[in-house]
Amino acid sequence: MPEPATAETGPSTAKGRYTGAYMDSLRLKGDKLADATVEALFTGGEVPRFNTLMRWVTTSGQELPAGLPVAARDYLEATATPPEWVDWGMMEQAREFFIDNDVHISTALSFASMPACYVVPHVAKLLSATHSLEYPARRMAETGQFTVYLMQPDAFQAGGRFLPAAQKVRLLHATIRRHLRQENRWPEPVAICQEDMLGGLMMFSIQVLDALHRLGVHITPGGADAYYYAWKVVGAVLGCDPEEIPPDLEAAREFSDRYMMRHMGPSTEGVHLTRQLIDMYEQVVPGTLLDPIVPALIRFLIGDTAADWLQVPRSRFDTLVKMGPALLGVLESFEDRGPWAAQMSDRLGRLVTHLELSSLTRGRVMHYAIPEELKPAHGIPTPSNRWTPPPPADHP
Amino acid sequence: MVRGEDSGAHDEVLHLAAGAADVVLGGMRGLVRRLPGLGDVRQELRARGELALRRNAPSPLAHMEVLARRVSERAAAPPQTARPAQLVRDDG
Repeated sequence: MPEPATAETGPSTAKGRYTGAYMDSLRLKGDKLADATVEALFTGGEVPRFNTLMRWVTTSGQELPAGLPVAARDYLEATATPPEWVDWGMMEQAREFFIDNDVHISTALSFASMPACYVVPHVAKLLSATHSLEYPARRMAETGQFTVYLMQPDAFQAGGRFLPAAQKVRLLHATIRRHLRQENRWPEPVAICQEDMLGGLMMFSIQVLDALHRLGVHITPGGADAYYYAWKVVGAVLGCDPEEIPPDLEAAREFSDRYMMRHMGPSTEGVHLTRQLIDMYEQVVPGTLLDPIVPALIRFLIGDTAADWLQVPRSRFDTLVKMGPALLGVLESFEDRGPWAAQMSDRLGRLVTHLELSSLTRGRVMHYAIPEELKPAHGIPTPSNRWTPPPPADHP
Repeated sequence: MVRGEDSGAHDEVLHLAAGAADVVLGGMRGLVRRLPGLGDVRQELRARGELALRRNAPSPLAHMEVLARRVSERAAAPPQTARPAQLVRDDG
C-alpha cells in the first residue's frame, strides 16, 4: 500500500527527516501495550465482562470496578495518568487557544480533518470495513470529540473524562487490529499502524492549523505551538510512540506532507464517506437553501483536486465561501469593540461548536465498547433520520 | 430671585438645545457640501472592498491542493529511474 520509498518530491524533502524507509518501518508497528491487553482479554474470553464493567468507568480517579479482568486492570492502572513529561503551562496555553478558536477549530475538524481521512484510501477502507453497519463517520468523530474533553479545565485531573475515553479508544484500536489480522482481512501485516496513527494526529493538529490559516483566523506562533503540543500529548495517550511523534510544527509539516503524499488519492470508500459527511451536515442545517455551503466549505479547505477525488459537489456557494475569511476578519474586529461584543460572539461560537461536534456524534454518549466481531464489509446503508408523515389514510 | 434663577435655567436649556441643533445642522451642511456624486461613492466602496478582501484574502491555494497536485503530476509522469532510498533518519 505505501508508495515505494523512492522519487518523492514533497515540499519538505530538503529536511529529509522522514524518509520512505523510515515511514515504511512505522507501518509494521502497532501499539504493544494495548495489543497485549486485548490479546489477553480475548484469550481469556473476558471481553463481555470487561465491556459491561467498563461502562461505569468514565472519569479519572474513579475506583476500578471489582471483578475486572487482571490484564485490563493492569492496563488501566498503567495508563491512568498522563505522561510524566507533560508541560502543564503549555497545556493551559493550549486550552486558551482551544477556547478562543472553538468555532474555527471545530469547523476545521469537520470540514478539513475528516475529508483528509477520507482522501487516504486505506484509511477510508478501514473506516468502511470496520463500521459498515454502524455510523461510519463516528470513529473519527470520536477522536474529534476529544478536543471537547480537552477544552475542559479538569481534562487530566480526577473527575476528568479525557483519560478514560482515551484508554478505551486505544483498546478499541487494538481490537480492530486483532480482528483484521485474525480474519486475514487486511492486506498489510498491521492495521492502524504507527504511521497511520501519526498521520491521523497530523490531520487533527497541523492540518487544522492549515485550515485555520486558510479561514483567515489570526493565530499567534505561541498559540500554534501550544495547540500542537496538546495533540502530541493526545497522541501519546492514544498509543502513538512518543519517540516517533514529530517534535515540533516544522517536523509535523514534514511528516504530514510526506504521509499525505505517500497515500492520498481517490477511492470509492472515500467518496462514500464524504457523501455521508455532507448529508449529515445538510440534515443539521435548517432548510435546504444553505445546504450547498457544506460542500463549498470542504472544497475551499482541501482544494479542488482532493475535493474532486472525493466527488464533493460543486455549487453556487463555491465562490461565496471564498469571502468567508473576509467575513471572519470583520467578526474579529467586531470582537475587538469591547467585552460585550466579544461575549456575544463567544456565545455564538459555543453554540456553533456544540452544533457541529454534536452532529458528528449525533449527541450520543460514547462508551467505546470493544466489538466482539467485525461487521461484514458489505454496503453501508445510509440512515435516514428524517421523519416523514405517513401518507393519508384511505377513507371509504 | 427665584424667578430669575428659573429663567436662567430655562435660557440655559434653550441655548444648549439651539447649540446642539446648530452643530448638527452645520455638520449636515458640511456633509452635504462634501458629499460626492453616486459614481464617486461606488468607486470609493469598490476600492475599500478590494482592500478589505486583499487584507483578509486566503493564500491562493489550500495546502492540501499543493500536495494533491504534486501527487497527480507524479502519477501522470513517466516512471523515473529509481533512486536508492535513504535508510537512516538524519536526526538520528
